Amino acid sequence: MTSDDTSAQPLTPVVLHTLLALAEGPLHGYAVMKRVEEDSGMAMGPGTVYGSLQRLEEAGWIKEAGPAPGDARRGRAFALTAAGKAALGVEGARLARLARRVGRLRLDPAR
Amino acid sequence: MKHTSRWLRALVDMSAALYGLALRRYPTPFRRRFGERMVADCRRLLHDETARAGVLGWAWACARVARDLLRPLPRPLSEVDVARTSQRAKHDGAHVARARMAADDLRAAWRSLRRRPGFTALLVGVLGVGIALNASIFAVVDAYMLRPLPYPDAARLVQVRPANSAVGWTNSQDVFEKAVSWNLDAFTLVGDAGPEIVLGARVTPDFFDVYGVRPAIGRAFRSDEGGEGGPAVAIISHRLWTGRFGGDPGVLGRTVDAYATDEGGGLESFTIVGVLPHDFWYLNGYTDVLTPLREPGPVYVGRLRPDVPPERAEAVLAARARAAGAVPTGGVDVGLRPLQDAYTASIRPQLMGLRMGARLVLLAAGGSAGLLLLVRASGRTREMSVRRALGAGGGRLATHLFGEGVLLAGSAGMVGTGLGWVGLGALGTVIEARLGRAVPGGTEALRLDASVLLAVVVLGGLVAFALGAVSVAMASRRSLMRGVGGGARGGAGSGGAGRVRAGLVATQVALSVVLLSGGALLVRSAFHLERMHLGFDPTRLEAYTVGLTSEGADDPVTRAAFFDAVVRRTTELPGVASAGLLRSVPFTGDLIARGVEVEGRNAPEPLPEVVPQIVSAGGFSVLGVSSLEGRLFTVDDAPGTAPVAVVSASLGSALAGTGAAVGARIRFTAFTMPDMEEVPGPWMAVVGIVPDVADGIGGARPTLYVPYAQAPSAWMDLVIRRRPGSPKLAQEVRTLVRDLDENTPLYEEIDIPDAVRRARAPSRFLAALLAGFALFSLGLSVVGLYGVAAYAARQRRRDLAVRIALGASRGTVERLFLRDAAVTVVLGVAAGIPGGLALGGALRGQLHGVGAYDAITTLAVVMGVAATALLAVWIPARGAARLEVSSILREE
Repeated sequence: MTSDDTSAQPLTPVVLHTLLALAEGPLHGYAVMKRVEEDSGMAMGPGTVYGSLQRLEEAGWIKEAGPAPGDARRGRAFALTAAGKAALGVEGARLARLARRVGRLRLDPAR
Repeated sequence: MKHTSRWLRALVDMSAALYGLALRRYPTPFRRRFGERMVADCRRLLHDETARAGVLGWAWACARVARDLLRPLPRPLSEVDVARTSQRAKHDGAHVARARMAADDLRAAWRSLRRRPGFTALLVGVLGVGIALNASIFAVVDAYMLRPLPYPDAARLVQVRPANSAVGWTNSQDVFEKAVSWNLDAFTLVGDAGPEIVLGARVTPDFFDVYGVRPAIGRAFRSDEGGEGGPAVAIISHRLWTGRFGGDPGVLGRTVDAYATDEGGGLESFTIVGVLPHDFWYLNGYTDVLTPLREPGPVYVGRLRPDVPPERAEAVLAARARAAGAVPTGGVDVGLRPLQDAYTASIRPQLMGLRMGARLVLLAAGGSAGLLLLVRASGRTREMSVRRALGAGGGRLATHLFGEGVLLAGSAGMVGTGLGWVGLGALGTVIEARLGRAVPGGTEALRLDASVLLAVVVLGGLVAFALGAVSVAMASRRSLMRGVGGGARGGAGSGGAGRVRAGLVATQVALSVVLLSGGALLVRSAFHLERMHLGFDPTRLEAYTVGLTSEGADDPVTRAAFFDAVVRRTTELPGVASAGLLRSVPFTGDLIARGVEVEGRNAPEPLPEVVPQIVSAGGFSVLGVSSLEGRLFTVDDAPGTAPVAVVSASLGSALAGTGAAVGARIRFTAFTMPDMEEVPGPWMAVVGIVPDVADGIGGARPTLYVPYAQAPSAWMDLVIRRRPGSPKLAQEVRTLVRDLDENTPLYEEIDIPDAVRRARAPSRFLAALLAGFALFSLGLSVVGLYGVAAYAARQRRRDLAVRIALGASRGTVERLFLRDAAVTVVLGVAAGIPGGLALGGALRGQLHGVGAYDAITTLAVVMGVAATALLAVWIPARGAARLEVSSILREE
């Protein structure tokens, strides 16, 4: 797992987009579901949403926080932890390296 | 919302309710935590979609939720993912990075363990018990053998042995800084507080300097207080001060009157000049009354000068004793022995036996933990392969796995320390009683202190390392699980992990054999003791040690009259069935055996040493002992008539080698010890033979009984058999004896059934302890074998299904498994037998009625372990042989 190693196992799309959804601030489950859907078109159901939230929490990447701002009736929201941010950062760096490499191939669909 | 028609709203409600029911498919904890929110979210999704696209929206949302319901819950993030967090470490300095990586690894390990709480608890429990046992045993070993005796600079204290009259204080000052000699004695204190027997000693005045102790109040002896004509001063124990003297601060200067038992010089009056500190601990407990020794004897214990090494001191003293002609030809040279050594030598084998057992248990626990980790590894194969495929360095993998080992061992260490703490509190006194020697410094010295905790840390470290090593060995094999459990493709232990696993199972089996061998011997020994024929009936027997103290105690006639009266009046007490006298009742066994000889006969083999027992005319019948041959004592065996004796059956058969036992004339030989110039006893005619009477858990020793009337002693045990239903008679007997002689106390009250029970208890305890651990270990091997076989069966479902489909019989399949397991089991058993024999040897001192190397026990253990082990394999094998072939093949 060296720094220019792009072969590292990618995060699953669900995990990546869930982290990304939470990166801008704490959200509750339904908001995560909608946000991921907007970002990626993935239509998750509640089982997948809470299932992955639980797994992310176990991994120490997110934690259950207080109610989401302006949405108190929705119950507790989930927020990224430092470890979660780091993990997202690492994945971002990996994707960026990957993007650079692809970019060097000059396969720009616009051309 | 307002566009939504009423029936669409009903549809949404109904679908959400259905979803609520469908949630049952999820695990309860998950449902409990998120269920409410999930139903709410589902309703909101249905509602939003219906509002957007009407019934089509509803249908789309339903499809989305239904698909989600059919999906499995996301799996835990692999540790690879979790570990990626630590990549940020690269941005830090090198050793910060390393520290952070280690912390991350530990965190990751912690999460991975927490994800399997049951498994983790099992591992921690198994290891914790092993560590607790070792901590307790280490605390005991530490208290006796490692920690210095509770005296300043205790390493310089040595015992001179054998004590030699040529090594006195005056000619050893170049070797010893201070030295001490003593005479132990029992003192009967008399006075207003009533008579009381206490243990004390006459000591040379330097006693206090030798042991480095200062009295708590008052002063030590002055050096001019020893020797003939010195002042009659005494220093008393803290116990006696707080007890008999009520902790009176003005005790100094008071006098205490006492009769000494051994030095029958009549009533002595001592002035108390000091009180010992409450925490003063002495090797033999004879410290209630210390008074200066009048005739300094040989040095018993000395404090070496700091500049004299023990070897040189020993050489100097030995040479001096030889030069003085004080070592008989062929006699033993004077030697020095560290006091601690001398104190603990007799219990060392037991301590070592306990320690060995404890270590074996820890090994077994560690082995089981390793097996459990290996079995679990099946679930982590993919994770490991992924990590390896990613090029995760072996180092990184190893730190992670070692991290798990460290966490497991650390938790186990904490659990073990807690358990050990509790266990030691409960078992401390039992162990002390078992060892038969007081813990140096008192029972409270038996504790988990810093050195014990250090030992726990070391043990924990070893366990952690071993567990990590097992995991790494296992993870470093690519074709990890292929060979596991052996099997048709490669036979037992083909793959690396297979070998590790088979090795662990074999070790486990071997340890079970070792522990079970020891446990079985101890159990047989305990059973032997339970069933041991005592030779007497202990029911409702009680005894009181009576030491006649008054002025006439020296006179045999007075003694005989006193004890006759005691017996007669005791017999008259209500509730007494019978009463008699015995020099020492069984199971208080402190009679020292003596040599005997037979008149005019040369025994083909030397006669055994015999216990010199004294018994009153009615004594045998109180014990329930009747004669096998000849007669018992009668009132006619009086002083002045021909001396007679009764022998026990074992002495009788020893005598039989020289001719008929009854009618032989026998006597005690003179003492052979130097300084004891005693003439042989009188010749006594053997008039009868009685059955052997056990005088302790060692069973019966050859015993020679002489009639009390012909050998009246001042100290006798009054033994009483109560009538059924009568309460104990301590108070009545005390009053009765006091009425006869106001200065004669009861020294000891003995409940004989209780003494028998207590004598057996330690052996039961040790047997239960070791047997318990042996069974625990066997259980672990069974779990290990079962787990391995069940795993192999699962892994090879397809392979087996094909075989069965091709016509392999169920028997063939079962045999396949049994054959693989048999190799492991046989190896384990074979490795265990020598260990079992060695443990038996180490336990030799604890065994009664069974030899240390017992073929039957070994055979039974081996058969038992092998049968149990194969049964553990056969169950999953049987399951495997009954596979539903078609369904498996379809499934693949």
